[in-house]
Amino acid sequence: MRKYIIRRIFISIIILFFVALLIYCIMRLMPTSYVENLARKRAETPGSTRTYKDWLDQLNAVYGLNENVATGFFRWLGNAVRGNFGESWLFGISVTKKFSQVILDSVYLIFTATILEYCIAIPLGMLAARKQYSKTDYAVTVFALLGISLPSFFLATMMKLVFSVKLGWFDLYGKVGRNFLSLSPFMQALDIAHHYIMPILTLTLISVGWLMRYTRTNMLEVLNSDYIRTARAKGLPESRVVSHHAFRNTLIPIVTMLGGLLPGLFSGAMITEMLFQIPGIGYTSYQAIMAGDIPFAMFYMVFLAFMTLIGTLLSDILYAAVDPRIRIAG
Amino acid sequence: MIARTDNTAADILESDGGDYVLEVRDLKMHYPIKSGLTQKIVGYVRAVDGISFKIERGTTLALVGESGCGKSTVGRTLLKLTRKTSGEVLFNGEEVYAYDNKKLRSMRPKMQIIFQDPYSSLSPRLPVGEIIGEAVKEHHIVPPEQYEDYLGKVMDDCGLQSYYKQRYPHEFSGGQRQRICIARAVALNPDFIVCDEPVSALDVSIQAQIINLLMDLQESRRLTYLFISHDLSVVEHISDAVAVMYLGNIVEYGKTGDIFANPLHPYTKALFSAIPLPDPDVKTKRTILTGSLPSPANPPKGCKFHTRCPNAMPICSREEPPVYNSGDKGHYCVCHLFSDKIKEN
Repeated sequence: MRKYIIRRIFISIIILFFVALLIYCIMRLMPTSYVENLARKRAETPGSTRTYKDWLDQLNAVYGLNENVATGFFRWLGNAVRGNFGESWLFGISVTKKFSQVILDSVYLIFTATILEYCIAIPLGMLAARKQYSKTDYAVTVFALLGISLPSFFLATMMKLVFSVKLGWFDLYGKVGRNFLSLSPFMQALDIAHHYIMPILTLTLISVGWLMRYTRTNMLEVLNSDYIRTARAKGLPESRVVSHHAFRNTLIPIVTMLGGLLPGLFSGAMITEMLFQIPGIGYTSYQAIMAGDIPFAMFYMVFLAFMTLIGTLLSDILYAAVDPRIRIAG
Repeated sequence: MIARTDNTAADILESDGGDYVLEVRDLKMHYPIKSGLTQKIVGYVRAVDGISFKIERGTTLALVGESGCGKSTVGRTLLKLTRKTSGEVLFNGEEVYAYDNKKLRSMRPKMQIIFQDPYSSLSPRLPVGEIIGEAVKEHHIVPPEQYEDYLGKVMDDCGLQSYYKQRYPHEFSGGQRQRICIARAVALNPDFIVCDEPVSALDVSIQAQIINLLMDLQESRRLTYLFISHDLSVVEHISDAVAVMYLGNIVEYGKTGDIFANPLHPYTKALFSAIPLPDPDVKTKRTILTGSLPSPANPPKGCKFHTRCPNAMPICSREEPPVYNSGDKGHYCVCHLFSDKIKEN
């Protein structure tokens, strides 16, 4: 097991290297260049004595874009392994500082939504499976399909219409209310929570459907197996058949998906964050990429790649932990 | 059709004062075929279409027939694992379907089942000790302080080492897994076990061990088996009586010796001619059945077997065949070939 993990970590480092290289090449090849925009703006400033070309040459030298891609990448890599990810061009502060400013908002948002998603989807999926082809099953399925099919921007807009415009329960957008600064710390926390309700609801509703269907499918497969028939024939109470025999085996594929959630937790919810003006990582990374902010985009993407690798490793370990049939060799 | 099945029931179930663990009268299990948006019932799959038999305590009745003839459905319906459509299932003289849920659950340990596939019938998440012992605790088969000893003894009886308790099913071979399934069933101290093709998934040398284990357990614990199988050589070895099923009906029924010595129904004869003989010099005259099993959703009229029967007569496609009782006690055959003999009597 330990050998296996060490081997996986080595492989991960190699993968991470190539992912970073790929992202760097793509960022350099992007049609929007932060430096070009800046040079154009400066050349067009009234009273500017230098041409766009002059500005471009000078700024390219300042931002290190006059080097070729390979040199630029290894310079970035050299700094990155020492923990120095540079300064964000767009935000003007260090990349890691900007990241730590915005990441928590996204993590709270997505963490809560994910917990809610699991708490709603798994019981509903089990219920639907136990009453396959009943009215309950169809009702749950319609609900799930609605969630899957509705785009988040539409759902969020409709919720705003109902809960903000008509009922006036929530602010239309923003992370805090207008009088936030005059509140006590406890009330401030409540205020933020209040503003988070609609984005969290949106995220939960759009994601609950697929997990519910997934749970239902797995549960059905388990419920139709011979060992469930055996458990019933043993004369066990139905509740024990479901909780002890069926649910445990249904859990195997679901638990292993938990590892896959890790990168999702840090990637942010770009559309939902934008709709509700939550200054999270989804919103920030969108701004950075659109502006061609290479240091920030590099850090964000490589961090996600890192989290994905950790997540898959975690999945594999979880798999071995929950399923006695699987023992990791080596 | 009803007249015939009633007739069978009456003949087979004549009261002779024997000690019967299980009596089945005119059992039917029709699965509805649903179709369309409203899930309207458009027909029925007649998986079991009116069968009757009884099993004496401590004996084995074999239920034989080809795939899809409804053998396994019979086994599951007897244990109320699926719902019957009509008919009676009397277990120790009591109607199984009359039990309420609580009574049914408390009766469950008395009727057990062993499935064909020892891989899918053991929960992969539970250790063997719990698989075998879970229901023992649930139903208080033994006092808690004797539980460990009891578990060890049951496992030992079934040829399992008691230190296997902590292991998981995937660590065992097919034969050992089937021993676990048997131990699981036997641990509940049942009167009656449905063995649903318990050896079909095993290779021949293991088959013999499992069959012998089942027979030893039957002797030491006075168990009653319904042995569902398509392997006639196994059936001849283990069973006291045989019922041959075709498309949801019993076509021939009798003591194992009588049926093997003197098969009456053309279908039974065809089945027997398919038994391979371990002598390459003996030329067997095989009766090859053409075509495949007709759909139980839309069975042929008259005798259901007439589409494939080598002895089919015009009457077979028109009328339900009568029940013929050969001279041997309790040997019945449902076929038009014997109509004349019935009239003579």
